[in-house]
Amino acid sequence: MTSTPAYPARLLWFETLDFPLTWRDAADLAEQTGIVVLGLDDPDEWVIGYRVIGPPSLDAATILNLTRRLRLPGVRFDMTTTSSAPPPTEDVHELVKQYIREYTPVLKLHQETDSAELPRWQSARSVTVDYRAQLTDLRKQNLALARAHLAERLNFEAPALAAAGLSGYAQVDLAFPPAGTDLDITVGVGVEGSFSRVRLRAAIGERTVTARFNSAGIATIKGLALDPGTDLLHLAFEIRS
Amino acid sequence: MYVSDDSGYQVKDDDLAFLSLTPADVKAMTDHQIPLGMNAAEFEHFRDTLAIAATRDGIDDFEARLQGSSAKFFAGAHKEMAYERASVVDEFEAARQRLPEVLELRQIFDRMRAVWPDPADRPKRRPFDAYYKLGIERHGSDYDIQISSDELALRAREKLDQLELGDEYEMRHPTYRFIKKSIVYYIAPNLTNWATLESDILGRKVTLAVFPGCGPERITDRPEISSHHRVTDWILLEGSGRD
Repeated sequence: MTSTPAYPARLLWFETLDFPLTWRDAADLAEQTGIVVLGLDDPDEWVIGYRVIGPPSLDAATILNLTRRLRLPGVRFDMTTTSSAPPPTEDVHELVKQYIREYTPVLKLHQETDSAELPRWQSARSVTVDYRAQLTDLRKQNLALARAHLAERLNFEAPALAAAGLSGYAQVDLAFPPAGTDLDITVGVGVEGSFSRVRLRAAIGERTVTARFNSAGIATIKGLALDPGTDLLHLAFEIRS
Repeated sequence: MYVSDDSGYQVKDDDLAFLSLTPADVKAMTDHQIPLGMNAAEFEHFRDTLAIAATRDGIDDFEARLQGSSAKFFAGAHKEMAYERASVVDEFEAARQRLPEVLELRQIFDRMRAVWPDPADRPKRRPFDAYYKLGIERHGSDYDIQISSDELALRAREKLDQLELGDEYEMRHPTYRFIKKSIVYYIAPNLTNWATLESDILGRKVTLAVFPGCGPERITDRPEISSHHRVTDWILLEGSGRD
């Protein structure tokens, strides 16, 4: 029988983020939560960031560790302590939860029906494409055509982002999951700045999905179901007023 | 003469100036008095709190060695200095997960040419903080702490047994052979906290690599990455129960 640590660490709470972080995200993370990221570029490191809460002493160490996850993408936020009377961490917990909410780009279907959120978002003009005519046979050149068509049209609408203090261009990618008929859409906006006031809306028939842009300017919508009743996909930038 | 790398390149005063080091810093390092990047008070705190962390984790059979460029001036033989444009961009991209801007790349090469103007007279291995000073890496060189302890190795195995993972689960890194850091996080929380707190105090990453008591095995097929115990190693600390 082996020993155990004389002073074990207690887990106070944890949160997970399902998306991998980039260095650009790390800057936002530091700004919003105070977490210092140091080991992001080393895949062998487990603890890749931290925030020390309270005094930096071993006998009262309360530390928010940012760690990798074993087999899942993304990161984990562990608030651990070796103190018998750790300082309050609720405020930090709220900051972490808020960061995760803002970062997570994929929202659930029909989230727009959340009436509390609706009035705050104003849509720029939609970009509409007849996806079925170009995509149903899934040939690569058709997908490429659809991408190019959407990118050109959406890029045309990109100036609408000026209302959120952004300007630039848009890139669009479309994909069908291998085993399904749902649509995956990724839109990247090639500008610098905060994307907290911008989101992407995609709609096919009655099905609508919105996705926030992450700090790299990428919004991802996964699994937007096709609708036998319509041939049209609508994409739009939305600006929070 | 200060130190040289395995190509025979001898460190010069201009190198030290570029790296914000003094001859006294290098002598303190070669005498195993103070690692590069710390002062005496910081090192005393570093070592004292390492001993406390090991005690709090309940291990006394350990030995802690300082590896890497903070202890030897040059990084290991597997880390060659990049001088060619493509390899510098590769290193930049690996460190920062993006391509450099034209301005950044120009500045890197301007600095490189200023400190090493003669391509025939350049270090082959990476000096301490060189990539940071050149602008390739975002942070300065880290402190590599090698902990060897049978107690921790047994504790790691026991942790895996609790998870009903048999011997088929490899608990050590496939190449470097340290016990996976995801396991050390749970079996040595105070050493993990120590590394975090010292990282915060020193402004450099402090990394732990934990091995069984005999240390890393010699990697014969890739000797350049082998970190097996050597007589020239800097032993920081030994537990009271160390044989």
